[in-house]
Amino acid sequence: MALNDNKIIDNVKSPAFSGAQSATTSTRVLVTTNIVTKVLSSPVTLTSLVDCFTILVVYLLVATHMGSEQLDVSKDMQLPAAAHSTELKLGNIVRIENDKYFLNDKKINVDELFDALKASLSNSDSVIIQADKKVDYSKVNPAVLSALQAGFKQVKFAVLQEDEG
Amino acid sequence: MKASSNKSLDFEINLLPVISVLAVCISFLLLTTVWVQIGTFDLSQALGTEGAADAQAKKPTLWLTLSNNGDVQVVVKNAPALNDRLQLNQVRGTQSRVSVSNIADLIEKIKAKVPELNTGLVIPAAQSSYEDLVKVMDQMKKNNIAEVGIAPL
Repeated sequence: MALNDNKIIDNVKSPAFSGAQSATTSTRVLVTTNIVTKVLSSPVTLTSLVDCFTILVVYLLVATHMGSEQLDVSKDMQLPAAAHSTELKLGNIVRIENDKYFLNDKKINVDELFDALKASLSNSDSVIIQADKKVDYSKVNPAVLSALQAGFKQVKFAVLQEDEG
Repeated sequence: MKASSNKSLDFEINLLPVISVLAVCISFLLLTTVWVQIGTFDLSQALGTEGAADAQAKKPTLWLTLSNNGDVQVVVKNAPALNDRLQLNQVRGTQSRVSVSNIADLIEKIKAKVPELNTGLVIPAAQSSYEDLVKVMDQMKKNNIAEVGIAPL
């Protein structure tokens, strides 16, 4: 059988095949001189895929807070949650982690906290205290006390923002 | 002679580059989006002589004293309109934790009686949970007590 005897007819609506044809699938009929073979192809509907992708992109763009400050929190630290919190504006950060104190990521002795905070008062007049929610207040107290004694106008606790209600 | 106008107006948009761009956008946004939002809980601490000035003004103030076992003493100062039953209260803790819901109910009742109550002070104990402390202060702000401070140990 010669190859050029083959003929492909697109979207044939013969009574024999009309039942197999749907809106999303097209039927191609390979007609040969002796054999009639039905070739079914199901093209992916790209329009709905593009719609899904567009919705995803829009959702992610809305969920992304552009330009807002971020705080590095280690995976072992769980911040307390508060509904009435304000947007993070970076200042001096006192981090309390495993009973160790860090001022702007620099490890510091608790006895030197006051002097270090006093020296960093020129950078910003606010101090953010970042501590795990499970710690006792006695661990947080030196940071609060030192910040107040050093003359910081704003003392803030880093918290997870949760929905009101 | 009549010009031929048989040219089809149908055209096809090649969707593959569109899909590629969108896929890259989604991957980038998924990698860079920060899902956990961190904010700050601002304290209203008195500096220098501010505390003394406030005391002179005799503003109604809510004092919450946390104890190590989770009990909280709630005292309303400078609020003569309030009856004795609401001026001094003890809220029992549950399993050494502060009962935040009971405190919220009590603050709500107090705030309804003293609407001008705008200042709160939390006095924690050394063993008070930091989480409980923040929750209590958050409840105070929820009840429109805008100025919430903390007393260092």
